[in-house]
Amino acid sequence: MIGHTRFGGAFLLLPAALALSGVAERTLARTLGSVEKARRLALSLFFRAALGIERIFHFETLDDLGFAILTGGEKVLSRSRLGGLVRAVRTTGVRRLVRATESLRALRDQMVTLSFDEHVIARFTRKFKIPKGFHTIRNKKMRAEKLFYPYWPMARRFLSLVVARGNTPIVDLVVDFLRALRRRVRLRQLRVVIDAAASATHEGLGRLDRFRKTVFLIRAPRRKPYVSAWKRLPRDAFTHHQEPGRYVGAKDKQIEIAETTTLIDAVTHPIRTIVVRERAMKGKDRWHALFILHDDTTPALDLLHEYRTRQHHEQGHRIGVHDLWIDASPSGYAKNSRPDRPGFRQGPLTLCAWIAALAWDALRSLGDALPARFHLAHPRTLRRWALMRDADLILTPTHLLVVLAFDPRRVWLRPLLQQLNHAEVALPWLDGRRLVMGFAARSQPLPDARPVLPGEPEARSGRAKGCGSVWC
Amino acid sequence: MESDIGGTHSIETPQDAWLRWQREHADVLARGTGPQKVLLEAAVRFVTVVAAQPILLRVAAFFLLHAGMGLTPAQVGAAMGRTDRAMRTVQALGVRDVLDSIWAELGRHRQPKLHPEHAGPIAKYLVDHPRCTQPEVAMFIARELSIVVDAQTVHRFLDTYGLGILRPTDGEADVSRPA
Repeated sequence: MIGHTRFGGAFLLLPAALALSGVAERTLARTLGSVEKARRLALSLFFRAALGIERIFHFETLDDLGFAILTGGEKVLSRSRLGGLVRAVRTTGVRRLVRATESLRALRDQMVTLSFDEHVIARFTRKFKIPKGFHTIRNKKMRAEKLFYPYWPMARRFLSLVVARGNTPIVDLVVDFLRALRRRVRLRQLRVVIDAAASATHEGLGRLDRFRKTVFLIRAPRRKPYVSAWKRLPRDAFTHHQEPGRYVGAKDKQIEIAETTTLIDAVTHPIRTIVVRERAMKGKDRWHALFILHDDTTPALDLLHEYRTRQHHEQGHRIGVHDLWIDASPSGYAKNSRPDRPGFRQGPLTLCAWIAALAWDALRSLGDALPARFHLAHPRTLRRWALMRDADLILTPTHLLVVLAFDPRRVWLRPLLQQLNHAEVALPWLDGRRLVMGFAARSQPLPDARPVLPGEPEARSGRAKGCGSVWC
Repeated sequence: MESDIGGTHSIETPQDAWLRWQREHADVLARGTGPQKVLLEAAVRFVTVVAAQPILLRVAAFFLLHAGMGLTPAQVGAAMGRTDRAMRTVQALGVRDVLDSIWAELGRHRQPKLHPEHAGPIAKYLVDHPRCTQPEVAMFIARELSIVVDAQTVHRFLDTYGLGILRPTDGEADVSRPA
């Protein structure tokens, strides 16, 4: 026996991690100097995101043997070594890695709706004069960098990643991505959902309008002249609809939809506009509107529902920030550059943020293989139920055995273990040993496993004193 | 293997089949005792339901011939729709032979009782009991994993997963290892 780990369940993610590691070895090895360095870098970043290690400097206190094996070595990389490897990557190599692992092929010959949105990472630096961008949550313009993740709402996955300076308009990113997408994949029809940032300028709308074969659903900015015009629409132009309320059993939401057109300088034709008036329970009604480009036939309510799938994208960003720690990705400006002209190095930022997206994809696949209640489960739910399991590690000349602590409440993991064992995953950094997972027998407690509740609890149940089941 | 269980090819109900069989095999029925008639009726109905699926017929025939109710190969053959010669062949088979013939027909080998997921608990047992013998390992497997295997199977399993290194060298404590 070589040791004990508390990340026993994370070995279930090894097939996905090995696929990524194979690509990293092809694309990053030349820059980093060796295949092993590329593998360790990719695996460390992958399991950092999957297991929720918040920062790279937390690697300094990580001494779990299982985590070391998962990241391709006998010891966990030190924070300085991992940081050094991250900084050493070049943008071209990382772009090749992103291109080899993004899933654009899945869109081929399909009619797809994609959501484009940017996530702004605040950079709290006074020394480096990096461009400022608008941070929506903080509601102010500040030094920032942007992650532009195209998202496929139906599959709930990030398709690719482009990083940009904080002042890059989203329309620039959308236009560049659409050109690249058209070059690489033939689609039956592409429909694009974008937030109000894309309609901030007339010139931006004009540029999007040039993509005649692409349908755009863009939220209109809620400017005063626009809202006044929507309010002036005749009463009979609106169609009344009822939608489910905020929760089960809540009163239905009353909305009214009208269709109109908006004239914009940069666009030669009037833009189809769908105006939605949401009846308020109390106070003022809420007004929303969508600009629709290149689709004059789809009913307004269907377009509204299609636009609402964008919420999954926002949720994806939320998961990225709070579960995968994408805000802790390294900055794009080099610390040894000139403070007044810091430049923008895309490689490290792209690598960390994209591997976090791939980790989320692997976690979602893991959730799909588990019972129905884990489908679309958040990463920390999967960590709690499946990944963070006490296990013993036993190394033999031919195999690495991961023996999870026996738990009758985890029998639903068994089919997954059998599937993994059947795949005969080979670990290159352990001389090609095969990975085998299983549960310990009932009578085999793990030596280092600690019970959740201490043997002599300081806080006791009040049941004996007639206090019911309340803990006090 | 394609399955035709469920009578998809047969329109005849078990009741109709039994009535027809009674008419066609009145002499066989006349020779049988009361309990034998019950068994034969059950067999005829079963054959109708499984649409004469060959493997299930073989299992059913093996059961009737070894049930100790005095049914002859001719009676069982009539119920199964097979010749008494074929039934005598089934009667002569041992339990393992019947299983082997079924596995051969299914076109696959027997599934091993010990699976990769069992390597972990066995390895842990070996770590905790470094001087144990293979029969002791087999007893542990029977007790904890509810799988009965012989010492030779244990030996093969340990070899497959390289678990031999967790045990003492040959001849030291291994009293059961085959020569």
